[in-house]
Amino acid sequence: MNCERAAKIISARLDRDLSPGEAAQLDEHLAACRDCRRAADDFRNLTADLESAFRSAPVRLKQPIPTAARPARRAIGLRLAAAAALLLGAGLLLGHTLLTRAGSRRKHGVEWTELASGTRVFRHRAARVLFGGAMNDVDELIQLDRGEVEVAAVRAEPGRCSVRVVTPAGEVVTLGTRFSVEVKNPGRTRVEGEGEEMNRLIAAAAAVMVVSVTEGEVLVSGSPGQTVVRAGEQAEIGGGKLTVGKTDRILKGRVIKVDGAAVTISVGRSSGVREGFEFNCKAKGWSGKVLVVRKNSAVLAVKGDAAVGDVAATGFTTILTEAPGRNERTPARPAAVEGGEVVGDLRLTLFEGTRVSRTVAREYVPGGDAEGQEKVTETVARTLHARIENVGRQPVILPLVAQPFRKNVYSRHAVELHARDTEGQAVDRVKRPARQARRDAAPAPPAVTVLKPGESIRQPVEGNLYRLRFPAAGKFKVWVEFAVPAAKDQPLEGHRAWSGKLKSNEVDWEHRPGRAPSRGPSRNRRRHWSGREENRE
Amino acid sequence: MSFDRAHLARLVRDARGGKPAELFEALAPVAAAWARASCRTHGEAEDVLQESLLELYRSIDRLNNDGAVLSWLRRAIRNNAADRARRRAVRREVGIEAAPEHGVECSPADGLDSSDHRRALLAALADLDDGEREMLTLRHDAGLSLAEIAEATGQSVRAVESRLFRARRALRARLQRDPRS
Repeated sequence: MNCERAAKIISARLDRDLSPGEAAQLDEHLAACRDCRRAADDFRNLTADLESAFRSAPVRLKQPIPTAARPARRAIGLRLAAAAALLLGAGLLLGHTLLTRAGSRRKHGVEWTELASGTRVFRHRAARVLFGGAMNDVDELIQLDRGEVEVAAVRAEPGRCSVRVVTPAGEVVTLGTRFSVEVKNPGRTRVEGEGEEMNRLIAAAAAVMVVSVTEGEVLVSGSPGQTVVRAGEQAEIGGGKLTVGKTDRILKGRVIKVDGAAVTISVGRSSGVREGFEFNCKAKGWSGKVLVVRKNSAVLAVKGDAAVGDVAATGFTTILTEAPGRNERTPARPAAVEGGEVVGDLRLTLFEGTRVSRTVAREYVPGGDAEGQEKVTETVARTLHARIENVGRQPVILPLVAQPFRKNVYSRHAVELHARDTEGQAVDRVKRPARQARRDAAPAPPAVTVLKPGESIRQPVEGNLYRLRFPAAGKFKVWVEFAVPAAKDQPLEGHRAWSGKLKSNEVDWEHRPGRAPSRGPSRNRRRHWSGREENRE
Repeated sequence: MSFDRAHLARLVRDARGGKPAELFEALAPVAAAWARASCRTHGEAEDVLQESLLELYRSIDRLNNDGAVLSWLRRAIRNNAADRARRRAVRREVGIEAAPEHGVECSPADGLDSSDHRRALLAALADLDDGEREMLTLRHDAGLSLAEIAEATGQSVRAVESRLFRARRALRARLQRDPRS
C-alpha cells in the first residue's frame, strides 16, 4: 500500500467501517510510515474540530417555518384563498414579520401590502418589515429592520400622521407623500452575550438609513437631528451625520426590448412613474435621457437610446403631480323651444349644457420653485338633459324609485327614456349593468316622487345609467319620451297621480363619440389623489 | 434519515395535504448544511436558510417533480446565496465572524489560541471550492452518512467518499499554511 492509497483509507475510516482486509493493510502501513500516522491524526483532529465549530455556531432558522396544518390543494379559487390564509398564517407565526425574497423586484415585480388605513407598502431588497398598526398619533407604524420599503401614504386626519417608519438608524414621518426607506448595514454586528438594548445601540451605530422622496415631503429624524426632505431629495443618516442631496434612486428596471427608437423598460409596479416623466437613466454600457411616453402596468415605453440590460435612473428632471379633475358645468340652456311640451300639469324640456373637466398638473423641478408650476388641461363635453317639471297648481305623484347611490337616476320601471335618430340609424339603449340588474331584482321599497308645483326632476340623455348609444359620430334629431305609469299603490291624499306619455320637443344633436363615461376615480386612485392634493397645499 | 425519492415524494404529498412538519424536519439539517456551504458568513447562511425554506413552503404546490424536492431546495439555496454574493459585491457587510467576540467564555483548558484555531479552520473551509465545502458540511454539520450524502447530491457512494477525501486533504493543506492554526 502506498501513502496515497493509505490516505484515502484513513479518510474513509472516518466515514465508514473498513473491511478486515483494508484495516489490516492500513495498520501495517501506519506502523511503518510516520507521515501517514501524522496524517491520520490530523484527519481525526480536523473532523473533531469541524464538528465542534459547526456545533458551536449552528445554522438555524431565525423564525420557524409554519408547520401547522396547511390547507390541502383544491380548486384554483380555493388555492388562492388558501395562499392568502397561508401568508396570513406565516405572518402570524413570524410575529407579523414579512420577509421578501431576494431579488423579487427584479424577477417578479414588487410585493406590496395595503394596510388598513389604505397606505400601500412596497417591499424591496429582502426587506424585513413589522407592521404595527395605529398607535397614538400615527395611523400606521412600520418597523424596518433591513432592506428597503417604498411607501405610498394616504392623507391623515389633521393632527395625525399617516405613516411612521422606524429603522435602527432613525425614523421617517410622512407629511402626506410617497417615499422609500432603505436600511443599510442592518444588525449584522449582533454581539452574543450583550443585552437587547446594547445590541440595539450597536445596530443603530452601524446602520445607515437612506430616504428617497418621490412626491411630497417627509420629516426625517435620527440621532444627528431632523430635517424635512422634499420630492427629488434624498436624506442619509449614518455615522452620526445627516446629509441631504438629490435622490439617485427613483426608477429601477430592466430594458427588455429595443426596437428601433422604441424602448420598453420593465419596472416595478410601485415605481410611481407615469407618462411625461423624464429620466437620466444608466444601464450597463449605456446612459442617457429617456422620456416615458406610455405606461402599461409595469412596462414603460420610453423615447431615447437604450441597450438591453438593467437600468437605473440616476436622477429625474421632472415630476408631474396630478390633481383630481374638477367638473365645472356651465348653466344649462334650453335645447329647443322655450317651454317644451306640456301634458296636463307636466312639462318636458330638453336642456343642453357644457361640462368642463379640468385637470391640474403641477411640475416640480429639483432646485426650482418649491411651489412648482401649475399646468391646467381642460376637456369640454356637451351634455343633454330632459327635465320634467310640474307647472300645475297641485302636487303630482310619479312612481319614481330614486336610486339611493346616484343622484338624478330613477328606476327605469318608472321612467323610460326613448330617442330615435332621423338618419336611418338605430340608437340603442345601453343595457343595464348586471350588477345594477341584480340590485333591482331585490324587492325595492315602495317609493314615489311627489312633484310639488314648480319642482322638477332631471334625467341625462347621455352619459348616465340609461345612456343612449349612438352608432357613430354624426348629426341626429333627438327627442325624448317619458312613459310614466300611474302610481297605483300609493294614493296620497291631496296629491294627484299621473300617468301617460310625455314627448319632448326635438333637438338637433351633434354626436361626437368620446371616452366612455367615467365612473369616477377608483378607491385607490382617490386616495392617491388625496395625497397629492395635500402635497400642493 | 432517507432521501429516497419515493420517500420524499410521500413527504411532499403529505405537506400538500396539510402536514408539512415531517418534510421540513427531514430537510432542515441538510438545508442548513447547504446554506453554510454556500455562504461566506454565518449570518448570511441563516438568512439564506430562512428564505429558501420559506420559498419551498410557498412553492410546495407548484413542484413539478415531488421526488426532486431535494434538488429543488439545493438549487434554491444556491440561487439565494448567489444573489447575496452579487449584492455583497456592491455592498459591504460585516459578518458576525469578523466582529470581535464579546461575552464568549473560554475555559482555561481550551487555551487562548482555540478561538484563533477556529477562525483559521473556518477561513480554510471558506477557501475550499463549493463542492468540497458541501461534502464536509453535509458530513460533519448535517451528520449524513456516505449513502445519505450520495442520495442528497445524486452521486455514487464511491464518488462521495473520494470527494470527502480530497476535501479533507485540501483543508489540511490550507490549515498547515495558516500560522494561526
